[in-house]
Amino acid sequence: MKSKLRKILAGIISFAVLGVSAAVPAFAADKTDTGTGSITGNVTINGSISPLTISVTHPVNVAYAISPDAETFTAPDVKVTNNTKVAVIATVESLKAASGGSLTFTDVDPSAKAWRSLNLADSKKYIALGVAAKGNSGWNSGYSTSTHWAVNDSPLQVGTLNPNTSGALSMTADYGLAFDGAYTANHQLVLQFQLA
Amino acid sequence: MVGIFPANLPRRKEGFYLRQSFRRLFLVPLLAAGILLSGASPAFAASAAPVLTLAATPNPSGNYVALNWTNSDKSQPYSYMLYSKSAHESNFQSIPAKDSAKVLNIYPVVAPTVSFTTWQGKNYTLPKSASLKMWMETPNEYDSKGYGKGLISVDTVSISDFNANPDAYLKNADGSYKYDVLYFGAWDAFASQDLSAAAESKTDAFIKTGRGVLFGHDTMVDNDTISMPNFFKLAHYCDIQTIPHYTVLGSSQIKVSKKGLLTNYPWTIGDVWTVLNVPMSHSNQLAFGDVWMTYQQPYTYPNSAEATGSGGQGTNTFYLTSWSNCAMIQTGHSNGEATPDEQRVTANTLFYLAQITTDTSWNDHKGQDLDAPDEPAISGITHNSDRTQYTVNYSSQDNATGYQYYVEATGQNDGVKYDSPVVSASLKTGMKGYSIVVDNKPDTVPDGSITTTANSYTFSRPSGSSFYIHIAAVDNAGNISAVAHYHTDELVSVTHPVSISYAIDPNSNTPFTSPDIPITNNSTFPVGVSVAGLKATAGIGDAAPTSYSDWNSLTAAQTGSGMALGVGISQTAGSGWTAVDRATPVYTGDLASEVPLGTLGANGASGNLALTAKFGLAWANAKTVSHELTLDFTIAN
Repeated sequence: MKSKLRKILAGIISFAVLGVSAAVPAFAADKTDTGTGSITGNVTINGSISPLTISVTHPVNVAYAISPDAETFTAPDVKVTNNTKVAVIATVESLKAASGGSLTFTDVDPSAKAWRSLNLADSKKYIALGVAAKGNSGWNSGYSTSTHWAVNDSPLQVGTLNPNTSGALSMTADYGLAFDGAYTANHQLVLQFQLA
Repeated sequence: MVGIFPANLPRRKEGFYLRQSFRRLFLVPLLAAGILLSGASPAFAASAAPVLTLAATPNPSGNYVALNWTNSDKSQPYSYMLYSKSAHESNFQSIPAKDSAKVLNIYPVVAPTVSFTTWQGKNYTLPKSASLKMWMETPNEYDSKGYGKGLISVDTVSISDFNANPDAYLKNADGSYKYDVLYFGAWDAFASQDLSAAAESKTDAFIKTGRGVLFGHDTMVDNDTISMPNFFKLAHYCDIQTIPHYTVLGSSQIKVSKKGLLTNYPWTIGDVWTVLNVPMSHSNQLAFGDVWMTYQQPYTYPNSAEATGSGGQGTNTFYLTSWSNCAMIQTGHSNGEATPDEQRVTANTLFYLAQITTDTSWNDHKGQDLDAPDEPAISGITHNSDRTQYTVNYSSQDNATGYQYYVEATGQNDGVKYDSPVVSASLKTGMKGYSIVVDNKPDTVPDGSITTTANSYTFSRPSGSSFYIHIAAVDNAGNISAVAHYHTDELVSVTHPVSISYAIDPNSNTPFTSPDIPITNNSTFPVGVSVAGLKATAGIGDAAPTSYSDWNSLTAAQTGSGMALGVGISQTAGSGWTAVDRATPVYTGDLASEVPLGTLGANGASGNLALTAKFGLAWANAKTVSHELTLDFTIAN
C-alpha cells in the first residue's frame, strides 16, 4: 500500500513572482522647495514587500503493512522538515482512500465496525486509517494530539514547526482480518503548510 | 641763524629763503658792527637771534587747531603769515590768519550798473562789473549779512583809477596796506582792460607781502587770440601757464575736486564730487596748482577742448585754482551774473586768501579733521527666533588728521623775515555715530545722518528673501567712512525627491534594499536638516525598533502589524554634510519633537539620507506600504 502526500503552494509561488517584479527601488521626480528662513519638504516612502517562500521537505509516499495473522499494522513515520525562514503550521487537509491498488477501501470511523469479526467481503472493503502528530518529534508545544481519521472531512491542524526543524506524523489503523490473499490499497494524504 | 629755518621749505618759496638767509646773514653783521662802533654792547649780545615759537593745540570740539606764537623781538612790529600742510599734502602753503577779510574789488569799466543796499543799510549804484560788494554785503535768503556773512567787506575801484595810482588805493597814508585781498573782476574778457605796468608792479609787491589776490575771468590770459600781458606777469603766483593757441573749456556746472577750508568756511560748499551751478563760463589757461573745482562734464561751452601741459601736467578743466596766497576763478564770463553757489564759492575764496595778520594767535579752521573713521567692521548679526528682528554688531574708530605748521614773521620796519620751527598737531574729532540703511539694494550709501551712536543696531526684517545692511561711520567733523555692506540672504532652496521606493524580499539574505534620499542645498548658506515627521500612512503600522528582540522570528500576524522604519544621514565622507548632529537613525518614536540630523554646506552641496528598517519575515502575500517623511530645512546659524 502506498500513501501520497501533497502540499498546496501554487498561490504562494504566484505571489512570490509578483514580489520579485516589484522589488526594484526607484526615485520619482525631484522637487525644489523654497522659502524664507525655514521650509518643510515631504518625501513619500513606498515599500514593496514580497511574500516569503514556504519550503517543506516530506516523503513522496510511505508504505504500511497489515498482517492478519499477527494482527499487526506497521507504518513508518511521515517526517516533515520545515526549511522556511520562519515557523510554519502543518495541517492535515485530507486523508482519503484512493484507487490504484488491488483494493479500494471505504474509509469508516474506527468505532463503526467490530473489526475482529468482519467477514472476507467487509475486511476487503472497510478500513479506519488515521494520522496524528508524533509526540516529541519536533513539533512545537501545543501541537494536536488528536488523530485525523480518513473518514472525517474536517482538516486537522497538527502543529507548528520552527525553522530548520522536523516533526513526524504517525499512521494508525483499524482493519479486518479476513483477507484471502495479498492486496494493495492506496490513500491520498494532503498536508497544508502556512506561515505561523 | 640758519638753524631755525624749517626743514620743509615751501616749494615756491625756496628763492625767498635764499634771499632771506642772505639778507639776515648780511644784516646781522652790519647791526653787530654798528653796536661795536657805539661801544654800548659787546658783539655777542647784538648777535642774539630773535626767537619765534609756535604752539599748535587741536580743538576737537571746534574742529580746528588753535595756533599761538610768540616773538622775542620787541624792537619793531611784525606781521605774520602762517604755513601749513596736512598729512595728505606734500608742500606747505600759507593759510588764512584772520577772522575777517577786507577786500578791494578792482573792476573793469562797463556801462551796466547795479543798485543795492548793504546789510548795514547803505545804498550803492555801481557798474555791474563791481557786483562783488553786492554779493558779499547784501542780505539774502541764506544770510542776513550777505554771502560775506559780515566777515567780508568790499571796497571798489575801477581798473582805470587803480592803474593811474595803485598805491592811492592799496595803502593808508602811513604806507601800510588797507586790504587783505584784491579781487580783479568781473567781466567777460575783463572788458579788455589790462593792468598798467605800475599797477602790475604794485600788485606784485602786494602779493609778496603774503596778502591775497583773486584774479577773475580772462585776467591771466596770453594766447594768440586774447592777451593781458601785465596781468599775465602775475600768473606764476597762481601757478598758471598759458595755452599758446586759444583753447577754451567750460560749462554751467562745476564740481568740487578738493576738500579743505575753501570748501568749508564760512560756507559749507560740499564734499568732493558735489556739483554746483554757476553762470556759463570757461577756462583759457592751464592750472598747475591746487584745483578746487572743475567743470562738470559734458562741457557745454561751445568748442570746449581739454588740454594739458607738457608731460600731461596741468589742466584747463579748472574753474577755481589757487596756489599759496593767489587764486583764479572763472567768474565774469557772464558779465556780472552769479548764482548763489558761485557767490558762496567767491566768499570762501576771498576768506581763504586773507592770510596776513599782526595778531599772535589764530584758530586754524583749515586745520580740520578731514579723515573719515575706518570702514565699520561687522562682527556679527543675530536675530530673534522668528527672524522678524535683527541685530547687527559692528565697530569703527575715528582717524586723526595730522598737520604741520610754522609761522613766518616779517619785520614791518626792515622787512626781515624769519620762521618758527615746524610743529605738529593731530586733530581727531571723535566718533559721532553710525549712518545705517537696510534695504534690498547692494550698493546703497548712507547719507551720513546718524542712525545710532551704539555699536549695535536692531531693526525689523525687510520684506523679501534677502536684504542688505549698509553701515557708515561718521565722526564729529562730519567725515563719513567707507560703507560696509552686508548681504543677508534667507532664501532657503532645497531639492529632494518627491518619493522613493524600497523593497523587502524576505527570501533574500539582504531583504531590505533602498536607495538613498539625495538632498541638495541650493541656498547660499548652510542649511540644517531635521526630521519633523516619519509615520506609516498605508498598509502597515509603525513599531519601535526595540519592539522585538528577534525580528526574524515574528509570526505572520506580528510581521503584518508593524515595522520600524528609520532615516538618518548616509555616509559623510566626500559628501556635502558639514556637520552631523545625529549618527543613528531617527524612528517614529524619536519624534516627540523635531530631531536635527546635520548640516548641508552652501551653494549646491549634496548629501544623502539613508533608510533603515526592522521588520518581520513572515509575509504570506505581496504587499505595498507607505510612509510619509517630513524634513525641515533651516538656515544654519
